[in-house]
Formats: sequence, structure tokens, C-alpha cells
Amino acid sequence: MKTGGSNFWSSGAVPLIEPQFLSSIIAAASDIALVVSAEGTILSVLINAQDDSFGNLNHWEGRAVVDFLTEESIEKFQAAHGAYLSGTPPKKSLELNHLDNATWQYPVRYTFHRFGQENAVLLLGRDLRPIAETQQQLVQAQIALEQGYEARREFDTRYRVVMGNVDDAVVFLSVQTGRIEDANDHAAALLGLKTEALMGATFASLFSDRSGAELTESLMNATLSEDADPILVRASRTRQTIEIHPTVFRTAGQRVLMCRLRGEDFVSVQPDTSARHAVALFRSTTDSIVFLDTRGTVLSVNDAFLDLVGAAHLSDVVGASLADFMSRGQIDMGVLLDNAAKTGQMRVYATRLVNDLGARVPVEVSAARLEDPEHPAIALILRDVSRLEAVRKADGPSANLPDPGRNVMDLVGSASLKEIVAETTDVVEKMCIETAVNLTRNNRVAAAEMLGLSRQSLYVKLRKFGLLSKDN
Amino acid sequence: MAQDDTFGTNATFREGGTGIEPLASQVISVLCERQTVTAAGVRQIALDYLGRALLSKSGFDPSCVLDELRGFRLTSDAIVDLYIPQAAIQLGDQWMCSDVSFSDVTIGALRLQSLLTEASNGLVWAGQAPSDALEALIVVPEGEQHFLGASVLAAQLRRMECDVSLAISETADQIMTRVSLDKPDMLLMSCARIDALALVAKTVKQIKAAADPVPVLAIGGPLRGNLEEIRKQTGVDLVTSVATEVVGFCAKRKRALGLQ
Repeated sequence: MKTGGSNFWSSGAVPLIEPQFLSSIIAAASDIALVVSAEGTILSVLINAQDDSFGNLNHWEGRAVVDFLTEESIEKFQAAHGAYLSGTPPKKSLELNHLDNATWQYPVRYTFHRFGQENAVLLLGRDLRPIAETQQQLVQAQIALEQGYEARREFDTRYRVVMGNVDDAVVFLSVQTGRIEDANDHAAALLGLKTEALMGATFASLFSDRSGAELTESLMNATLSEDADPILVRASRTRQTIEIHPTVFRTAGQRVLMCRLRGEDFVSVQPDTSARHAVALFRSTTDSIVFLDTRGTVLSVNDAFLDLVGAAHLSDVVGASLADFMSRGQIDMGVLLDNAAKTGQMRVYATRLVNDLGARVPVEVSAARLEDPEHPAIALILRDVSRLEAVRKADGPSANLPDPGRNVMDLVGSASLKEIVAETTDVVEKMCIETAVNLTRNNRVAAAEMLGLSRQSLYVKLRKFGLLSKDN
Repeated sequence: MAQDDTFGTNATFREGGTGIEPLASQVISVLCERQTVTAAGVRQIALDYLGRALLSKSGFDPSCVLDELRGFRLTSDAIVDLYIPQAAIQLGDQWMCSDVSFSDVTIGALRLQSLLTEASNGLVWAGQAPSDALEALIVVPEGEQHFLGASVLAAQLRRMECDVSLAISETADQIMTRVSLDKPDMLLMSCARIDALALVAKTVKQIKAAADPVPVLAIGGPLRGNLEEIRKQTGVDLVTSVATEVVGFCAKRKRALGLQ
């Protein structure tokens, strides 16, 4: 305890310190001081009088130190205390976590000092709570970062799913270095390399007809206008002509090009204007369009068809036989498929579609065979004519009378006599019920009475013929 | 790269050999030292390097440290599964011996966390979990300051193609909401202190009362003592720090119950 070799402390210049002063000096020199017996019992607790943040620790006196230490600190204290008692006091300061009332914890850095009393030790402690608080904030900041990483992980997964499932071949390219930063499998296939091999590769090196600077400049110029032509390049490995459609954006302070690549195959199958219009028509027309294979199995339908048969999902229809939705089933199918196969097309064919609830909707169908050697198909256009029928009815029985002979010709051969009679019964039933409902102004009790039906039977038939909505 | 030990090294060449033999024996000795494997299965020289990096006063760049570790021919899997947990244990041991302060331990643990994030990037970002993957929720209970173990576990589970969510210091209500909405197959709680077991037991009780189906419940961490006693006390299905044990248990239970 000498400074610079001075004998000041041992020369007698310093008077002996009275015990009552000594404790206050010790308390002032440290934040907390403990006098611990050889048995590990706290003989005295001294707290800096300037700092009341420790509260009252008088209850520590007479109890074991380990009663006020956290689990991991107990072992640590016992090892150091044991060493002290064996004559080798710890040279390093000892950090212990105190615990009081199970919830209150604080770290203190202690140094061991010999004390007058035999084998007792004076522990001079430095309060580390200010440091601990700063560290708590650090840990909280790290937790926030971790939560940020979790969110980033989710976005990254979405990005990977998109990159892996889009039909486009996509490459992300640093404008500054001209190197590929990311690419999907389609791009790798188009360029004739594995996806991993593309990462970090110079983009221009994958093409035989462009230098790095030239390609980057062309790509950047192409991003300047919205209707710019794509950049055409020739891939070194696959020898394909590839169209590059670039888009530039900024991220993390650097410019990045997203390049969509299109190979020759794509260019050749790119739909022309009329094909695009046909697709748009398929999606938006109110007439139903159905594509069948040559056995009558549904390949695809538009939304209008789903509405017509009351199906909720494509999966309810695709893969099924269209006969399942036609009132005359296989007979209708046979007529349509045979005519389409023989003459390539069929003009207006009148029949009815049956929906899930059993309601029958009158439709007119035209059919055409689609010439495709690999996947021959039949296309049908179905038009709901129920409104047209209603208009004809409204015009009166004398107006636009159907040609009975033609109707009978249409019927005979398309179904058995039994089926024609059953169908006729249905039509008569429906007409009578509709009339009764109209006459009674939608009074179901009266309508049922008029028809000689129970209310329940009338309800079943209204449901069967799709007339429930009319009386609502 | 691995030879450029920026944090100093214990292995030093002694100069002064007059012929090739002293040099050769010195080289062999250094090579032997490099190959020394500890009981935990880690190469001591790499662990020493990592330990020095964690305590370095001159900063810590996780990508540089990762490059250095890879220079020891260590895979990302080995770094995540072995070296990071061992380095954390080493830090704790050093604190117990008063070789380092608790602030060194905290900063070292945060550095390990950043190293783990860096090392996991290559493992995790590679793809999404399959649609029939086991779903795991890892919980670091309120008041727990250490979440490195939970992060290591998350990285290991993701490598096993599990879909993993991490809940750090969330309230019991927040955890219950996650359980009822996400319906995880397993819920793993990371716990470093015996004192926190009461809170764990309370959370387990709540989950068992409200969740349908009840996920496999496991607790792990540097817990000491009678593990069977801890299992009974907390009401969990498993007390383990081995990710494969929980996944195996969960998969078996799913098969037994005929769940998809």
C-alpha cells in the first residue's frame, strides 16, 4: 500500500483510526462493503452514506452471504472465499450478483482484503448497476434487431417463393460492378449455367456479342423510356438470342438493374394481338366457354360457365364430364362431339344445363373442333337463353310461334321417348307452377292449393326448377 | 485467411534452429496443436481464435471472423452447432474464474449473436420450409436476458426444414395468441435460470388449458440439477437442449395421432 516507494503509511505519520471513523471511511471509499466471517456469515454491512439506492441492508447481518447471492455467484464466491481462507486471497476482483427478495438483483465487483479479526475478510464493493443498466439497453436493442431479422426472414422467404415460381427469367445486376447479385432458376436455364454459378459472375461475360461497359450502357439507356425496345444479346453457352427487358432501381445507395430475360422460344410463342383479345374475351364474356377433350372431359372453362352451373371453384368442373351438367347427359354430349368430329363444327344446338340444385337452364350451344395434332380439343360456346324464352312468352303465344315440326325433329333421336316424355312433364310442371305463383301473387299457400300440392312439395319443386329466387 | 490471425496467437515459432530438422519439428508441433480437438468435439485453435475475437477491444466484424473460421475448414453447420455454443460456455467459465467482467460476457454474447446471424444466412435464406413442415415456436421467457441459445436452436431447426418463429420477452398473453393462431407443433422454451421455472410452469399450464391441439412442450438451456424433477415441476413433455430430440418426439407423436 505504498505510493511511489514512500513510507508515509508505515512511518507513524498517520494516527491510528478510531473504529467508529474507520467504518465510515470504508463505507465512503466503496459503494458497499461486507465483513464476512470464516464461516461465510456477514458480520457487518457498510453502505456509502451518500447513496441510498441500496436501501436498508441491516437484515443481512448475521446471515450467510450465499443467502443473498444468485445461483451462479454462490459457487464463484465459495471458490474465492475458500482460496482466501487457505492463504491465497484472490488477486482479481470478483463480480457477484446479489439477490434480495427473489426479484431484486444487482451486480457488485468486490476486492478481498485481510481484516483484523481472525480469518474474517473485508469485501470492498463497487456498484455495477449503472453499467448493468447500459447493458440492459444494449440487450433490448439487440432484441429489437432480432425481431427485425425475423421480419426480414419472412420477407426474404416471400421473395424466394416469388423468384422460384414466376415464369419470367429474372437477374439482378449491380450497375456499378456489372456483376450478377441474384438470379432465379429460369434465368440459369436460359443462360446454360447453374444458379449458384451465376452469382457474382459478370453479366456481359455470359454473352458473346457485348462488352461489359457496352452492355451496361445499353441496359441503362433502355430503362430511360417506358416503350424502349428490349436489348437483344446472344448467350455464349446456349447460343440463344435473348431479349433483355431492364428496370433500374436504387437500394442501399447503389443502382441495381432487374433484367427480365426472354429466350427465342418465348418470343416465338408470344401471343399476337388477336390471341390476346381472344384470351380477354374468354375471361370477360357473359357467354360460357368450355374446352373439352375428345371424350367430353372438361379441360377448362371461363367464369361465366361457373356462374351458369353454380360451381364455386374450377376444381368442381375441370376433370368432370360435361355430360354431368347437361340435362340429357351423354345424349347431348354424343350429338355435340359427333358433329364436331365429323364436320369440324356445329351451329346452334338447344339443350339445358343442370346446376347443383337441379335447376335447368336453357342454353344454345355451338361447337368447334380445335386442330392440334398433340392435344385435339373441342371448344363450346354456351349462351343462356332463359331470358329470351321469357321474352317470347311475354310476346304471347301467337307471336313467334316455334315451328313444332322442327322442334320435334330436334328432339327425336337426341333422347329416348321415355326421356322426352319425362322432360315434357318437367316443362309442363314448371309452366304450371310458374303460372300458379304468378296468379296467386306469390302466395305459396294459395299456389299449393291451386296445384293440389302440399306446401312442402311446392317448395321442393320451386327449388328444383330454380324458381325460389323469383318468389323472394 | 486463417493464417492471418488478427487477434494474436499463442502459437509462436522459435527461431534459432540451425538446420531443417528443428524447423520441421516446430511445424509438426504447430500442426498438431491446430488439430487438437476438445471433448466437445471442437478444434481448440479455432475456439481460441474465436474466444480472442469475442474479447477483442478493437471491434468485431462478424463476416471477417466467419471467413477466418471457415479458413479452419469449418462448415457453417459446425460453427452454429459447436463453436458458437462452446464459445458461449467458455465466456461463462471465464466469468466464473473472474478472468472477464460481466460486461465482457454481455458484449461477447452479442458478438456471438451477430456471428450466428451471419453464419445462418447461408443456411436459412436458401429456401422456405416445405408446406408440411413441423412448426416450431421458440420462446425466451420474460426477464431472460440470454437468447443466444434460442437463436442457435432456431438455426438448427430451420436446417431440419422446420418452420420456426421466435418469441423473445413476450408476455404470456402474446404467447397464447401465437399458440392459438399459429397452432405450432412444438413449443420450445429457452431458460437459463432456475428462478424462471415458475414462470415457465405457469405458461405451460395456460397453454395446456387453452390450446387445441396442445403442442409438444419442451424446455432447454443450461439448466442443472435433476432434469426429471424440472420436467415434473414445469409440466413440459421434454427437458433437453438437443433439437433433434424434440423434433423426433414431435414427429413420432404426430404419426401416433395420425395428424397431418
